Amino acid sequence: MNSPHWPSELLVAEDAANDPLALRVIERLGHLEPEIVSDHGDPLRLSKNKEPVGEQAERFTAGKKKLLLCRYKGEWMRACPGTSSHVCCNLWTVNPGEGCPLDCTYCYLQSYLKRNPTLKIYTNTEDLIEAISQRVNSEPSRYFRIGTGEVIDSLVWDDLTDSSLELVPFFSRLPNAVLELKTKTANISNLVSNEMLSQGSRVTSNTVVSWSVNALEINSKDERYTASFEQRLSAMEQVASAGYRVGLHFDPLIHFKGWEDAYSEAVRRIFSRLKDSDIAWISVSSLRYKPEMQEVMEERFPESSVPYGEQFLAKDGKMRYVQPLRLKMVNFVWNELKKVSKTLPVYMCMESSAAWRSINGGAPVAGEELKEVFARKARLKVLGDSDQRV
Amino acid sequence: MSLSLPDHLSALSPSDNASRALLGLARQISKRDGVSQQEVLDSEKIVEICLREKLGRKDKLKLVRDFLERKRYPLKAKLEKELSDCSDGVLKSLGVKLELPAEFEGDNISFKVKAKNLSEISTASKKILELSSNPEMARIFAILSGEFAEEDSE
Repeated sequence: MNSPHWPSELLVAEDAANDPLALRVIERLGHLEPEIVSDHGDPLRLSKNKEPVGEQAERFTAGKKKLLLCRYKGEWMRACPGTSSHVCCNLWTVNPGEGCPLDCTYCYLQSYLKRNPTLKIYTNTEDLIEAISQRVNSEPSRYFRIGTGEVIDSLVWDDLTDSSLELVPFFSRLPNAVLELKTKTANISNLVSNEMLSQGSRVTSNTVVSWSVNALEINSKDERYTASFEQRLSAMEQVASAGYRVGLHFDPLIHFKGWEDAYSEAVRRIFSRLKDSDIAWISVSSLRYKPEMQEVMEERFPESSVPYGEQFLAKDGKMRYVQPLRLKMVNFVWNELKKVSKTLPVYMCMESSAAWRSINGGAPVAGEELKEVFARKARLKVLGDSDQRV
Repeated sequence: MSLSLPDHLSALSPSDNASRALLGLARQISKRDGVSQQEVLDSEKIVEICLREKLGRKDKLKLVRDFLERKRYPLKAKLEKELSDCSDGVLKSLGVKLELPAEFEGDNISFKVKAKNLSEISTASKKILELSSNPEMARIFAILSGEFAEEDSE
């Protein structure tokens, strides 16, 4: 079955063409004739320094329909870059590819990948797994929270790659690491498949399946090709029933008329279907992007009101809502979540120390429930090792 | 499509940067409000500023830009006004000049007191003590941490 976000052009790097993952994707995209390329660079790579906004927007849009299967030769595992002068949540990132076929108005990839907009799936999965294994095993007393959703949606290609069928069981064998699969899709068929779950109840123990969630208005207007709110809720229920813990990212909070009711409703709907004990962590953060993305957003999403909010150049060089508004929004959603349960592990992504003081009353380490998110050195027992998460 | 400034604004000979800033603000206002960029730049207020006889061109340009900024960012304008009123109130009642965080980023407020002798230090320390129970000071901290109503800004 063809998904609306699937590519219309398939490129395969010469040295990746016989990798099992590449062969699988080529087979599943059987309606496309793969073009073998010898150059490892991005076919849409921007070579000049500056480009008019219109061309930049067009090139980025074109990249969303072109998929390159290639091998990754850089360093796989990296600490999340975070943002300067802001509190960091200590996530490690591993990118099994680059670029996202979904098309959210506010997506920071519009500036982050503006020079290399072609979608990529890296086919040397064995190297990725080896890199994680080496790093995690080399520091057994350190706890690693590793996400694959930094520059790609963790599950958007899973029906083409079956990557989760390798990653989830692999992580279940690691004593000091947890995998976060972050998505806006409902691509969970591998996660809840017999092939996965027949491996025993422990297989799900070290994987958190996370969803970016937003107000329904934003979901329907500004998150093109993503799963609907209802589809995501249904997927959350299914993975929770299968034994996974669920992560939620209220990120980015967008300011619009009626935002309070809308976010309140989103929280209410989620927790009418999930138990607070299903939740591994929840992040809350407001809109932010590099200034250079402003005009690209305006060009690519002329109907959206997102570019015309009250965002300014903040201390970290990103466009953000003026601080009082930012704090008002984060505080509101934070409190809505804490009404569900005071012990829900809620944290802020890329927010200032001032924001933490204002909303949490102090630094993130103050809350015991956030130990897993901010732990650096503590060795945490994982579910299955003990009845109690420490 | 790029648009140039209307005659009443180009007559003020803005620099390239200033022109870009005015056009950028006008573009965003026009897209947000669904009106033409020309309509934004031809607004009654802008024309009125440009026609003021007692102002120099730089002052006129600054006023036009301030006007467009307020129109583009009504909530920020409202918060700025409220914070400025509170800050003026503190200065008036206690004689303490406040320095608020730039662009509202952060939660540190500085204040300056001057003393020529020990007696003035004593007076100043009383004023500082009074600051901790001053309602306008409390309002400033509240606004910075997100406690404000939004309705009036729209």
